[in-house]
Amino acid sequence: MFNAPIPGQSLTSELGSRPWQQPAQYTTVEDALDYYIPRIDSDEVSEQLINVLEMGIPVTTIANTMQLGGVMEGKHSVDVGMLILPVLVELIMLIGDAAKVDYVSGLEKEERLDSSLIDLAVTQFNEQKNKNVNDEVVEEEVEEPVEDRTGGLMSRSM
Amino acid sequence: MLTNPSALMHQNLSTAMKRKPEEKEEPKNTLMGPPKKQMTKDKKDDILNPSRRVASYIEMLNKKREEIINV
Repeated sequence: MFNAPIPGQSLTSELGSRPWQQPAQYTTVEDALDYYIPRIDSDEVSEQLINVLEMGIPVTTIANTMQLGGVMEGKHSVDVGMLILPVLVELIMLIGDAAKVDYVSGLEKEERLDSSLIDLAVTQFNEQKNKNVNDEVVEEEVEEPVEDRTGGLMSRSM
Repeated sequence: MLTNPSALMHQNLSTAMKRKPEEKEEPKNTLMGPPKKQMTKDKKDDILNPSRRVASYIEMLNKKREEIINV
């Protein structure tokens, strides 16, 4: 906990000293894929990939970690990383299918409800309930105006 | 906060791939129609679009995967 970086620590290093602060090495989708595909397809990496897939790590997580690593190493920009993400996902799934691994793709739609969605629904329900109660109170307060007929000098004669 | 955009990117691209390209009206030889040079440029732009290129790679990988699964 105490080893965490101090806020603003990243700004203390010289600008341009980090790889991602330099111009990217590969600027197009094709160049970036030419960098990734031979690496992923190599025996060493594909074996590691299969092991990771068998552990139940989602494909999307692996792909994102790979492209994030590429950005950090200054291989490509974040934009190119975003563009190649779906290709990396498909490529890893292809390796998984070829090895007949029962992997988790990470693309499945979550069936369980997110807790924030439940909170939102409860808040909206309570707001609606309070609104209905207030409307009822307002309706009760409205009474028919009683005709006050005081016999003034200018009043109409009865 | 979204920390892993992979699923979102994949989903968006799949949706875009499923959507058929809109059929454009055939150019009529009118004075107000676009010049032929501009039309050929539009087609070139479509090929140069990075998302189009990524979609073509994904289609290739998808076919390979289907072949492996079906064997």
